[in-house]
Amino acid sequence: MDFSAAELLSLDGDSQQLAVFFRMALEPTPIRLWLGVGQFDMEGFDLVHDLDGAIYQGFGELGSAPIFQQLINGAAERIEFTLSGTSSAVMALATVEADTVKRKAVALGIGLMDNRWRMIGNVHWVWRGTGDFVATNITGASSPQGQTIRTIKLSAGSGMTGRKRRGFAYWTDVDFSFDHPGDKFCERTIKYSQAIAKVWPRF
Amino acid sequence: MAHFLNVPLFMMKGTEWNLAAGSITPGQTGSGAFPYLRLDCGGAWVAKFNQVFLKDDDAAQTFSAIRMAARGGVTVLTVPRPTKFQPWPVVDGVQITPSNIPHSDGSFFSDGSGYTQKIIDVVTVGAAAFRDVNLTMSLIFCGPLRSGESFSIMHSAQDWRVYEIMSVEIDGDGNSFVEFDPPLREAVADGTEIEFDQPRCTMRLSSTDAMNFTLETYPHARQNVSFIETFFPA
Repeated sequence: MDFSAAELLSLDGDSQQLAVFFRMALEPTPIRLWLGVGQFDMEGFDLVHDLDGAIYQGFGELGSAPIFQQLINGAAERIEFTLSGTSSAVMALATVEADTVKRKAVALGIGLMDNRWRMIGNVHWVWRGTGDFVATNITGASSPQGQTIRTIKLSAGSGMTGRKRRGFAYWTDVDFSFDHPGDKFCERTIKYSQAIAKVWPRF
Repeated sequence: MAHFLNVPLFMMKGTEWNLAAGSITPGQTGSGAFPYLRLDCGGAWVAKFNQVFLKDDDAAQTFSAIRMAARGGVTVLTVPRPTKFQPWPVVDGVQITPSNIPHSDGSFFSDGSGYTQKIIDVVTVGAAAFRDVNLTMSLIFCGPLRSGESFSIMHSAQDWRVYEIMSVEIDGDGNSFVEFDPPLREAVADGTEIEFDQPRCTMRLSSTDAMNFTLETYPHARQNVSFIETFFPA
């Protein structure tokens, strides 16, 4: 990632105009969003992820970009993107295609703009990770005229963050005997009612 | 494309047209100066009509009908931008402004109104790309541009969009080189007409209750309306 002299000059100043890009490599059409208003045409830039003429959609589809760190000899990290949950493209991601997100490439890029809203240089893809899961977040309205806010959180990680997430297991006979064949420790779990304190045997 | 509706230019006490912009700062710093990061890449128009005067039943009924047709923000509206800064042309020391044009026999419609026609004639010289912030304009019939004016362009896909001039330079050919914001919503071809008479923008109601209507019996109702720019997928 090389910044040109003009870009470094802009970064040295105390005010910048920054464009933020988000791309997720879904099949067959990647999701391409940016933080600006309207559309952004990648044509004419050094293309890292897209074929010529890729359009990045604005219109507030990308809610905000998360804080992230570069992975340098360190632990992998997990970040969450907030996307608008009302457009069909993004909503489909959260509902019908929720399981297709896993292990898909996610990239976050920035570009510096000059006073005339032109890109000074190329888009710099500063963070790359893989998608893990999506979750829908709905805040209900409190009055008939209120607005229900629906957003989608996409969790993405760099490196092998999946290793840190433990797999869920239950104290059921099925789960337990899968790991320990023949052990009857959980055989009677199903007979216990939930949310009832079992009295320790009194002698 | 969505259903379109032209909002008439109501009488109103005031209007606000602002570009909604997002930014990040670290807050107050010791030295007072602080870094500033703008993230919206141009911003979108947010418009308010403050205290629209509904002076008679006709105005109130029109307002009410448009409110229903706006469908709480779903209908795409073409909203006129009220402005006083049109560069009206001056001929022999007389400023030409829109006037009521009668029928050929000199009569008007039964309510006294006539026709209007576009007066200012400005076209682009040379094309401009999507997201450009400058245009060269040929002022065919137009007063001198002083900057601060707003104008509109009818785009083929994005329909009417409003822009506001920040600086004007006269180039060697006598054309005006105009810089404006926000960036062009769509590429503009050579010879495109520029609308100065009545700038307008494609918008929707900013929320479902943005055009709520209270009918007052005396003296007349005053309503506030707010709009936000809306876009079409390319």
